[in-house]
Amino acid sequence: MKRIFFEKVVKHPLKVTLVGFILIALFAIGIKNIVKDTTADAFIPKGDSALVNKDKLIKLFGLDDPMVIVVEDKKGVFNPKTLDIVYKLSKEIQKLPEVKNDGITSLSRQKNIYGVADGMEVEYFIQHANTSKKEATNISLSIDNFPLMQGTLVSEDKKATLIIADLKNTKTSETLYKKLLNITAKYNGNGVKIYVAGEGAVSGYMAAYIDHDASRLNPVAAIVIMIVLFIAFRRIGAVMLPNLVILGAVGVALGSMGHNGVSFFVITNALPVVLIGISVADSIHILSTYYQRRRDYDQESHEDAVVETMLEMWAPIGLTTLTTMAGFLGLSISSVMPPMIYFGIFAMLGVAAAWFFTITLLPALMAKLQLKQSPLFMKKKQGLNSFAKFTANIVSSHPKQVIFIALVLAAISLLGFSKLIINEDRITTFHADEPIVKADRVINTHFNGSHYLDILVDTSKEEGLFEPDVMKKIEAFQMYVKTLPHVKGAVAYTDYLKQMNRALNENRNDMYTLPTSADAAAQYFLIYSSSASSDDFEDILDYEYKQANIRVYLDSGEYINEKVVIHKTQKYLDEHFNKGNLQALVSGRVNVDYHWVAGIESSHFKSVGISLTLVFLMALISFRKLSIALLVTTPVILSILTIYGVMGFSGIWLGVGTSMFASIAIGLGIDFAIHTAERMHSLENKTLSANARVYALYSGTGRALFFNAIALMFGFGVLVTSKVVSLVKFGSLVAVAISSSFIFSLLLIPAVMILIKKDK
Amino acid sequence: MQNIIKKTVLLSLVVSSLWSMNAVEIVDSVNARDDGERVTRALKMELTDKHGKKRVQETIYFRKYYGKDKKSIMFYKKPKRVKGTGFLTYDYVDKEDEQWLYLPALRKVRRVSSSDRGDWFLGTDFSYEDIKKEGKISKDDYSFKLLGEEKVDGHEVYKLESLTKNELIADELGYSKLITYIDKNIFITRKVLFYDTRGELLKTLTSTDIAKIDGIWTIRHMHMKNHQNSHVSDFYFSNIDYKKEVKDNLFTSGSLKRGK
Repeated sequence: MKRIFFEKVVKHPLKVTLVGFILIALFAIGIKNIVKDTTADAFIPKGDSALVNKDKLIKLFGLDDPMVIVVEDKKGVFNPKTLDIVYKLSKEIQKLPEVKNDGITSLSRQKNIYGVADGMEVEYFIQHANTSKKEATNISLSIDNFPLMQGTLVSEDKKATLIIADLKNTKTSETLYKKLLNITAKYNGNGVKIYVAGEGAVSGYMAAYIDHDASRLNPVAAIVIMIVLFIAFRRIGAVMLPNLVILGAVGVALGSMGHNGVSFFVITNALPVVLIGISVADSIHILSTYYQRRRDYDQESHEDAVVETMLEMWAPIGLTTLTTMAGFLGLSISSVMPPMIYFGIFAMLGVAAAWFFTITLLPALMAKLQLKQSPLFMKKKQGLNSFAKFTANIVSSHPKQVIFIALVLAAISLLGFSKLIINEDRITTFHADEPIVKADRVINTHFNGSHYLDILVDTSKEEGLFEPDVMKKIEAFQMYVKTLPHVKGAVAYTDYLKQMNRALNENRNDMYTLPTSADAAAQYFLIYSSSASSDDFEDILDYEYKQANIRVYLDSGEYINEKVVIHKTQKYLDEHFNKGNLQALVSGRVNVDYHWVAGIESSHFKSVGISLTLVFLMALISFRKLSIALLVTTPVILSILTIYGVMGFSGIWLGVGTSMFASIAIGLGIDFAIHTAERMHSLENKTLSANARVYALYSGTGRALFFNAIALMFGFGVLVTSKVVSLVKFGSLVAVAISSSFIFSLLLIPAVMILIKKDK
Repeated sequence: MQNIIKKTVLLSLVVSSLWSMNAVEIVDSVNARDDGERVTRALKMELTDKHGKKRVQETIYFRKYYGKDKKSIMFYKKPKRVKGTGFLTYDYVDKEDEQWLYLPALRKVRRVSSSDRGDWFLGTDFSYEDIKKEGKISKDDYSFKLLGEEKVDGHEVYKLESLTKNELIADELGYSKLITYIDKNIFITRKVLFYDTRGELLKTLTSTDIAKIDGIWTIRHMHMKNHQNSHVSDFYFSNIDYKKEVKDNLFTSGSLKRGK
């Protein structure tokens, strides 16, 4: 049956090739439908409570992620030149079509409210171009008298001020970000530095990153793989044919994403690169076997050699394909983040496609092209032999020591594992010297911070927010939350009321207090609205004065810091708010970020468990022996443990990007163990000494596995050149995991098997 | 005497319109329209946000001309919590306007700095300038072009384009362009499209329920829709009286405090 299949493939190479190409084209056509989604929200499942709460916030208060432009002047911003920049920039940015009308908050677009002897003044901080020196000093004094602006609009040390631009549509963040960079560039210099930051900018930046990455990573990966293939075989045909398999695997995976309307996320950039490395592995095994056959059976026709090669190899590559898929399946079913779930699913599909094209397209074209013998397989002696001999000697003569060293390594790794930290900070996605990171640093050092936790307060009755009790509770919460670590500020409608109260009472400092009656609060807001636009307060309270938002500012985006604030805030709200009609809900970016990283904490080890179980079961089914199945799984466990150890000792966080490494490393790493165990198992039947068995293993299967490992390591290693730091970490961790799987498999498995089955 | 002059100008303009009018003549006719030397009226402001949530405010309003200057006073009647809150405004032609407010909760009259022309009027979708002009169009701010004649709600109208004369004015007003539909017979604006400084449609004003009261054509319902934030303001005018005496001492801080 199998023979008939491969004979047919070899007999009709053109038909098979044509069908293969049509299939690839049909899938690949979907690629043009792919759209990018670089938002942080993309990492949260649609129905998740954190996202639901944030959507509620956007719907109620229109609080989406704005662009934040930082104008920094080390000598202080309150001088005519710098204030003029703020004025001109605000005006220019407001003219951009991506920005909401009246969507700018800045010193020239924000009104100062203060009391004078007989009344109250309401006017823009910067009223016109060409601010005078005296006016600049007055603006500085006004900020001193407007606590709400301190740390939010102007930094505490007065060395920086913000221009905040609300977007009409977050989908335009990439375009707007680029425009802002152009506009702000011309104002940079002469002691003034301008940065573009904010979550809106991060999304925009990320999208530009993805394009930049994809245009570089994929060609580099392809070139690297071709070089590896050339070194392994020194034949053009052997370099080109595996590329068709790659084309098929990547085309099917990405095309299916497009056909199914799945977005291209930040981590999706790793998918083609990963598939390039994986797809080529099967080809390496087949080509190696083929060239060995051509050498050992030189009378055989090309077609027969191809058929025999395929008959020998279809089972092992089928099994390794299944185990690789199991790794991705583990990632997919245990993850809660849509990008990872999709990564798992489509990588699985790509791996399956690679297998399919390896057993159809590859043999068809091998037969058709009648590949010339590789010069490296001409004679029995091969380049790696002396090293193989040396290693074989050590393993066969000191198997116990090999096992002991592995155990010591495992113990050290366990120690490192105990130091592993689960943490994430979205800004660390970018290299530390990127402008966006610098901008973020400025906001978090000089201002209240760029990370917002929003508390949604619901009084459940119209004008409920004016009740003195409610106002006092909100004020008390603001005071409390500011005592938590990394919380720099908390802003609510109560602050506007206090400012108003003071302005209406001759600007007396002792009147910076809440109004004492609900009527007064209602009247203050009416007055405030006399100079405000119809949607001016929509970001802090709803239209019926029923619900309000308290914005809490954090200067850190690290999960471990956010976690503390969220837990303590929740506890406080449960004790003081969530009783009766007054409800308070935690929401906002910080809450969303907290949720998706918390997801890693719960899903990562589950996914490792699932992947390990799956590969163990497959090994058990194929070897039908518990001891071998356990033995095969051990090198993978050791290599994963090594990585945890490396992460623990070097302080690499287990975060979004890095958490993906384990399942994939398991799925790929097991291949080495399976090939090794299978070869050792078959060699046991031959009357060979332990040393000869290990040597036979190394010079044949070992060589193919070596190039397999090299291809994978370089494939993943290419990710190191990515501009997305989490992909760099992910790529290097998988590369290290693969090399350690390779080493553990080729040393430990023969050592154990020799101990069990002594020399014959 | 002033009324007679106004009527004469209007009549001559109407007559000249028979020979088709140019853009400036149309604007002159609109601006010459009588809006009463004094008026007393109730104003109900119904504001609807993008979620459909409403705020309803009821006020009573008095206005009186003093030459080209005018004084107005407005008292809130509803909602209950703001009842008695009042705004007193003096609009001057040749100097900055003055404004005072009274808050019952504080029992104090406070002077408030005058609002800029482009500022929003009391948190509605009208700007202070929209309210102050009462349907008239400033020749100092805009240059005009007649785009043609159309029908709005079955009424024959002129379609007039008004472009702000320069960027400074556009920034002050918040508009770069208006498209105004002016009734050919009574020179009242039936519809206005406002474009923001970037040239994007910002809002549409539709005037309906137009009737002749005390001999003056009067709009009783103004519907302003902001297209960019989906906010809507409906102004309903009732109990309009152009004849009732409006005493001078109504426009004082004392009356602001008394709530009438």
